[in-house]
Formats: sequence, C-alpha cells, structure tokens
Amino acid sequence: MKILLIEDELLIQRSLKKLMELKGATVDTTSQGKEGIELIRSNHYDRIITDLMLTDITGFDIIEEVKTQFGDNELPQKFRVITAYSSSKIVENLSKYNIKVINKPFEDLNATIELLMDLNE
Amino acid sequence: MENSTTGAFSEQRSSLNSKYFSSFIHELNPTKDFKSKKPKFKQKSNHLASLNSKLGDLASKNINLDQFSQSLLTLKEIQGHKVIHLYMHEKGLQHAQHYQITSDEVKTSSENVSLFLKFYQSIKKSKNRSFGQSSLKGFPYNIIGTFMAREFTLKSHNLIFIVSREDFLDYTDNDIDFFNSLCSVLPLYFNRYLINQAYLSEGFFNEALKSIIQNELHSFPSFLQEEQMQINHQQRLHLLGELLNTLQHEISNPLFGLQLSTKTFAHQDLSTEDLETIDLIGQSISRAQKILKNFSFLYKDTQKVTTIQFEKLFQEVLILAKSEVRGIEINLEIDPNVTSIQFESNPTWIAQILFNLVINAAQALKEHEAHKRQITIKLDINNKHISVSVLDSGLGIKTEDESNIFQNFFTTKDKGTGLGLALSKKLANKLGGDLSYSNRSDSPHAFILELKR
Repeated sequence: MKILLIEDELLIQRSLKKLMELKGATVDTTSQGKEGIELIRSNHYDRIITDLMLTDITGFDIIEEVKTQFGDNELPQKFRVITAYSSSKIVENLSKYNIKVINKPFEDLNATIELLMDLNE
Repeated sequence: MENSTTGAFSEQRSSLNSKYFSSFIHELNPTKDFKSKKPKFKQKSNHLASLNSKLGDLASKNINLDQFSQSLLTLKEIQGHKVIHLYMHEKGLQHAQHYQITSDEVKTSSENVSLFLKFYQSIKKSKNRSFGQSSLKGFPYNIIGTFMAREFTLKSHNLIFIVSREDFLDYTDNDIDFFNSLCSVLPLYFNRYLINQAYLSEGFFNEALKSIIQNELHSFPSFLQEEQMQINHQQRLHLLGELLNTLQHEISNPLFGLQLSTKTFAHQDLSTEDLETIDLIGQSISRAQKILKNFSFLYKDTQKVTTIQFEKLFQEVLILAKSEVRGIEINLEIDPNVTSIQFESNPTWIAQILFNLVINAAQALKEHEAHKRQITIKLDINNKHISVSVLDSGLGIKTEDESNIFQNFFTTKDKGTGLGLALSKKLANKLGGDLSYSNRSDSPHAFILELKR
C-alpha cells in the first residue's frame, strides 16, 4: 500500500511513517500542504493521510484542491484526516466529504494504524 | 548581520528589533525549507530587515490590529497608499469583519462569510496581485482606483489585505516587489494581534470587573452584586477555558508526537533497561496529557448532562488537586449501591464543586498544621439523594463563621476571594441539589453535596 502522510509535527510524522512501514506500507511524507498537493498530482497513492491544521494551508484546502482528481466515491476511500481540533464544526465539514476523521492523540494505537491502512477490512 | 545591514533605515534599528528580526528570519525560514528559499531571501534580506524593523517599531506602539494597520500608512515605504482594507474571517464563524482604514479613520462592518470566501479564492488565484477597479466585481466595499491585494491564511483567521492609492495608475514591478516584501512580513504581526486580541480584551475586562467587585460592590444592592458576581464567574471560567483550550492544542500535539515516538522503539533491539526507560517516558507523557485534558474539562463552559461515573470523577478531581493534596492521605468511601444506578447530571459542575471543596480542605489542613492529615471523599445513596461528602481531619469551621461561609465575599484566607463556596453552592442549586456544612457532635465535620435522584 502506497501512502502519503501530510503532517507538520515532525515526531508524529516520523513515528507514524515508521509504524505503518512496519505493517508493510510504503510511506511518503511532507509537512507542507502545498507540497502535499504536488505529490498527490504527480503520484499514485492508495491512501492520503492528512492533518487539518498545517502551517501553510489546511487539510480542507488540500481536499478541495485535489478532489476533482478523484471521483465522489473514491474521495472518502483515499483520504483519512487526523486532527487534534475536533470541534463539531470540523466534523460537520468533513462529513460533507464523507471522510473518516481520527482524533489526536489516538486512543488505541493499533486500532488506529489498522484504520489508517484498512487492515481490518 | 546586525551591523552590516545597509538598508535605508538600518541606523534606526534597536536591539529589540534585531531580536524581532532574528525570530522573523526563523519563522520565515524554518530549517526544513531553508535550502529552497535561501538565494532569493539573501538578496532581499536587507530590504526586508529594515521593513521588519519598522513594523516591529509600529507594533510596539500600537495595541490593536486596526491601529497597527493605520500606522502602516505613515511609513515612507508605503509609497503614497492612502487606504488599507482588512477583510477577515475568524475560522468557524458565520460572518466576516471588514476594516476600511485611512490615516484619520477606521470604518468597520461585517458581512456574511460567503462573500468573503469568494473574494478570498479569487485573490488567491490571481498571479500578480495587482487589480484594476473592475477586477473584483461584486466586492462589497468601495475601492477607488487600482489596488493590490493579498490573502493570508493565519492561525485563527483568513485575511484579505488590500492597499490602494485611490488613483488609476497601473502598478509598476517595483510597487509589486515592495508589496510582496510587505506581505512576507505582515502575517507575523497579524497573527500576534489576532491571537492576543481575544485574551487581551477579556483579560482587561476581567481585571476591571474583579477590582470593582472587590473594592466597591459591598455597597451595591444585593441583586446587582449577585449578577456581577455571576458575570465575573462566567468571565473567569470562560477565560480560563479559552486559555486551557489554547494550551491543550499547542501542547497536546507535541506531547502526542513524543508519545508516538516511544512506541517505535518497541521493535528495536534495545536492552531491557532502555526499553523500561522508554516505557516510563511514555507513562509520563500520558500523565501530562491526562492532566491537560482534565483541566480543560474542569473549565469547560458547558451545560452538558451525562451519566456520572462518580469514582472516575473523583479520581480526575484528585489528579487536578494533586499539588495541593501532596502529603495528605486521601480516602475514597464509595457506597457500592451507587455504582449500580444510572445518575445523570452535569459532570463539569460537580467536578468544579468537588475541586473547590478538596482544595479548601487541603489548604485548611496545611494552614493549621494538623497532626493527622487526611481527606475523605464519601459517596452515599438513599431513596431521595446521592450525596458526596468531603471530610477532613482538621479543626473544621469556627462556630461563629458557620453562618457566613456560603455568603459572597466571606473568606478566612489571606488571599481568598470569598467566592469559592458561594459559587459552589450556586452550582449545586443549579444542579437541583444543595451544598451544606455539617458539624454534628456525632459525626466528623463535612461539606455535603446533595443531588436529587
């Protein structure tokens, strides 16, 4: 499984990359949203995991920018959002796209990794 | 770097501004992308440094964002621009705020966010940032002549920044260069203002209110006093809640990063001792996360009613009171019948009341240097009530004070506000219960929170 991880907290980025690699994934990472968009445009990823509050743009901006690249059905399948800001507003906004949200800090690390990589499906 | 700068305004730079400058360089060029930006940055650094130093000066003199923006118009570098528009949207809100700023006035108004978003997007897509009068058709505010605009994604807001000379001359490359330099520095200041703004205004208001309450309110009619007290309490809770929220957001992410990284070592070939150390690091981080979470919960402004898990709630309160109850023996006595019933209430308010009672008890024990230091939280149930009692091994309340302890502003502590117990009783009443003090000869003295079943 080829995964793109967009996360600007470097320790989270590195650790998550490593933990997913241990489960057999290939993981590209970036901490910049704009670079993330470029990577999505020029590569094929099975899964894109993005934080919401990045330093340059938001995860919403990324989804908006690239959503035409994917079909309506494919979008929720491609994306997973991880966020520390889980206001009802954000959940509501994301439910428009039907994208799964995972709150940071993760309550159950293994279950989260499995959810991020669809291992239990 | 400080002395070799030859920009037009370098001689005016103070050491304070050099500090601004270095932090600015750091923010503009974090190490991760330093490489790609370096050549461009080097060419412009002198120019930017002097501009940034000027902005630092202005920022130190102006309290508000609109004042700061107004003072931008006095800069020589602003090259004759007469009007600044700030059009901004605080993330999550339904409306956007607009400021039209000239050297002698600031006009504000607010609009639905949808218009804002439309122009935010069109400005974002524009390449050269220079606009003719007709190019932002439908823009709700009157801009005369050509103008330059830039959109910013700030921490708490999205913002559109527009400057206009109110003439119809096209912008030169030079103008656009200047504007781009300005725009590379401005977000730093906008962020500072917008993040500080909420806290500052609330903080000032809160302090003012507090001094009124403490010094003058005794002569007010009691219903007014009551109302002011409630407002003050709400303000304090709100302010603390906001502060903790920010702290939680800013600290919990790095903490989570640390916690996650400890999990990556489990798969490595390390000695048992090292693995244990890493495990301990993880536990410490979990503890810090928990405290942060519980404190945010304690000061959450909420009316939410849920099923109360008393024992868990007690543990959370005790974690929060940890520094006060250090060296004090804590006992929990829980009637097993309570755990089997479903009781719904507002857990935040119950926690606030208990937190207050436990802190009071701990302070009393320390103040009187009690020989035996013990606090007991007791949970009982009968047909009508669930009651939570906080007992301590201290001397109890003096008989002559007993009738006053729930009065506003009554305190026996040097630095007490006299509001803790009064507000706790109010909260208990709001929960449909009551808070009382019991000092019967046949049982130890206790504060008792009674909640109707």
